[in-house]
Amino acid sequence: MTRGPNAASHEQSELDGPRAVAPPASDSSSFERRITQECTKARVRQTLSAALSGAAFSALIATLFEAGSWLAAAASAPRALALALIALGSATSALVAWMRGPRLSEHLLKFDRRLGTLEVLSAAWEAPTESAFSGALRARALRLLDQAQAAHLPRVWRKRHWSIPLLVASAVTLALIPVASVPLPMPLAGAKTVRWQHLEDLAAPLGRINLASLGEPERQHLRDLVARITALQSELSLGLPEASLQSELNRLQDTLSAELKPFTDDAESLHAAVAALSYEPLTERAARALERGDLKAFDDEMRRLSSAEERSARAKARQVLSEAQAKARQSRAGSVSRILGEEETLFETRAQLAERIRELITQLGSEAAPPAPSAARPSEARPMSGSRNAEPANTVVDEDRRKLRGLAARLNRALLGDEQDYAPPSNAELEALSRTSSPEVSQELTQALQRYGEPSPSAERHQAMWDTSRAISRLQRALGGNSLPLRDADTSARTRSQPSPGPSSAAAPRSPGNNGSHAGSTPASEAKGLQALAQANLNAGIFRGSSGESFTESPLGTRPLPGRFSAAAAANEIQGVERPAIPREYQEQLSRYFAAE
Amino acid sequence: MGSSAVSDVEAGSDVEAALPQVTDEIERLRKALGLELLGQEAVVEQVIWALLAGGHALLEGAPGLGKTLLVQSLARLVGLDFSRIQFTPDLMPSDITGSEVLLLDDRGSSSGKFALHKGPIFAHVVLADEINRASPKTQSALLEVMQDAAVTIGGQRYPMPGPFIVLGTQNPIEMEGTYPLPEAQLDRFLLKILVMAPELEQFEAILMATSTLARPALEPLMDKQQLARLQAWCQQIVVPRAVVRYAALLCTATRPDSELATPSVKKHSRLGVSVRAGMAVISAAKARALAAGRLQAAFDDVRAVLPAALRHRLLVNFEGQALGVTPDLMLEELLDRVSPRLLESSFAERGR
Repeated sequence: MTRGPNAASHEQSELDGPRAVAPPASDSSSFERRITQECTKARVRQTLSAALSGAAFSALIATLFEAGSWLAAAASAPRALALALIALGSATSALVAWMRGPRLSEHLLKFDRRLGTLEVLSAAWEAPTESAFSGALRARALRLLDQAQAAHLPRVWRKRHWSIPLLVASAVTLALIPVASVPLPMPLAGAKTVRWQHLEDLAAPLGRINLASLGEPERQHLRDLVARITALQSELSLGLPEASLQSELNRLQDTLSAELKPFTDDAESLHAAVAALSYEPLTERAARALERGDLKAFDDEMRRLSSAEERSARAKARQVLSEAQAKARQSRAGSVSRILGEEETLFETRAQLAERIRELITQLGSEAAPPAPSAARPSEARPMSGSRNAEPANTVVDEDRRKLRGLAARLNRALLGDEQDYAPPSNAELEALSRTSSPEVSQELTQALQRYGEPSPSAERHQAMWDTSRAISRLQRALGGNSLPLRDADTSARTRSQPSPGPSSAAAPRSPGNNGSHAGSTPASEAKGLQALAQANLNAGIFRGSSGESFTESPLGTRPLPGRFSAAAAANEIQGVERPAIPREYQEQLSRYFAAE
Repeated sequence: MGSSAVSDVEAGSDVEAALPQVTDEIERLRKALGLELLGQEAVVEQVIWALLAGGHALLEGAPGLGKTLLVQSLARLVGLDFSRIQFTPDLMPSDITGSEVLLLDDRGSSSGKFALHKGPIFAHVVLADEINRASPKTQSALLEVMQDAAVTIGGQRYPMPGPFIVLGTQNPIEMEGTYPLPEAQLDRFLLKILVMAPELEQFEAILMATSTLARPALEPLMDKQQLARLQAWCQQIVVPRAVVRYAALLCTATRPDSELATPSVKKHSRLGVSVRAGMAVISAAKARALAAGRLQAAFDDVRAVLPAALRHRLLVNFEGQALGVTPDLMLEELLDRVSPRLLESSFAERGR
């Protein structure tokens, strides 16, 4: 709004009114700057006010959401989202207020109204440049703005904003209070409802699988399986009708059974590979393991063959494996071919590792031999402090050597194939190894043993599937009314140390060494799923189904359950009777029957 | 009077300083008129609005309320020529505008030349007394002169001397033998001013003032140049766009089909007011602002002048007349309904 020379004013007659004289450009720009400044100030205040109003509204929504999820005991509701909603509501309101805020002319109108200036500001802003009153109006407007106080600006804090602290506090409080457990619906008469809390991850064995060794479809399939098991476990911790649980467990078992039979769609390749392996007596056991789909046993057998002491035997086994892989690939480049390929790749590596381990064991045997009194190392022979400690020190060294000899013997047997299942050294053995041998040897042997013991990807996956299947089987048996098995630690350890699983593992030949004696057996391995299952804490009312009542716990700090929740019926109850529970043993029997056929 | 404040204003930068003096001039005029017409402050105020806006006014009131006195006093105070036309049914248009007459020579015979014999309309302030008693033909003779400030006589157009203001009076009671002014004629009046009977105290004061002392003769407070300058000031009054929109909103709300129309408008209004009515509202609002010493018109000005500017333009249908609904009643409801606050959002929406 700049003013130019007002030529018309020079032509005004004597009767004309006031002449229009352009104010100095600096005055004009300062007026515009001042007006713009005031309006921006008002706009900012309005935006802040809108942000607070948005915060109040969104806090109300958040509080209602929190209260709703709390009352509905929706533990899975994203409760933190409600708090984020407050910030989002504020930001959105501020943005909308800023974008759609009143224009300058409307700001001026509001200023006029608040100041009671009878539209002086609007007139001063809109006065045409040729108007004689423009300068006077602007001067008057500036004076009014100077006299204006903060009270004339739009208010930032309004009455409704007082609700913000209360609502935010309510929302935060509700978010922090633990959600009450989902009330169980009233089960149908005679239906059982099961709640199983503090259950460790049933899918833990699947979590051990190295995903990098799998293709994307297999990875996704595995993720889906883990998600299903996790979801079931989550529902189980909240309470689930037994029929629904049984049904889902059966479905999971079906899936796992299908996973444990990897060659159902590759029978021709399997026959070709088994025929090739069976032709050579050296690989006959491996052929049987492959034929029954026991990838873990097959992998163990191939490990044993790769560590054969005689080079000719290793070469022969390697040749047969290659031929079997070639024949399988000729038939179909499917899973059989892939698994044999994995074993072929590992074969040479394992052979080299076995050679090196033998060398190290030989070295270890010489170190573990009982030393002559004069050959005792100074550090071992010298008493630690005085003559009274000499006897205990010698005892410790002897104990370490004894362990070391035992380890060497066990590893020798494992390399010779006398051990049914290769087991890595225990911690005690490793400590003894580190104490009695040089660090280089100790470290190299430890690493070599670790790499030697690594299963093939397929075997690892097979083992994980089997472990998961067993865990679910135990759960099914527990649901059948039996007391939880494996509660005894020895039983658990014994079960875990059993040879490779599989539907027909019972038919697998037992090794001579596995005669019931604990001598040389490996310590209990970590199997959190099974151990947790063994130690699972069943709710007292888990088998109250016959009376048709539901149960739940009411932890401290959660709301008491209103009675009306007990009247609801879950939809999946109807599905619960869709599939009756089938005993695991019967399933396995059927599987064997159809597999043989 | 010789040192009129208005005449000293030579530059826009002096507007701020000259404004109080202008206001003082108007105030003195208001006070002088008020002394002449006791108890009719509102009428005096509205007459001054019409004077400043350069518009014509229609004074409606019962006989004997001082309408003629007001006009005479106004003409004398502003130092303007005054003429009074008493409208009667047999009044002819040429009796108002004048006519060309044949000139006679010294011997009394026709000279063959015509000369203009100016009628009473040729004055600065014209009092059209009981204007509704003249025939429509005669009333229409005022159309051109009121709109264009010029008359055409014998094919010759004669401009009126400025300033020119017609102040008509009419009696709302004695309707027999009258010819109600047509809408086109009414539309030419800027304001319709209602002259009401005074209250008891005012009545007493009038009687005291007129019966006890001899009233001194009125002295002019200004001349016609000064009045013209006041009118120029009035024209320069700044009207913000929002105020203009508010006036337009109010005018359109008088239409029965308007969203903002009140129930009485929807039911009893025959037609909304014209565009000229809106212009009249703005002009009168400017005059009110200047009379109040302001350089800008405000919403309050529009609201204040609305009844006077629109009451003679708002046509009430037969049903409304039968029910006693008056334009003033409808306008009052309209002002209650359409407030400037309502305009703020509307203005903001349309102003984007």
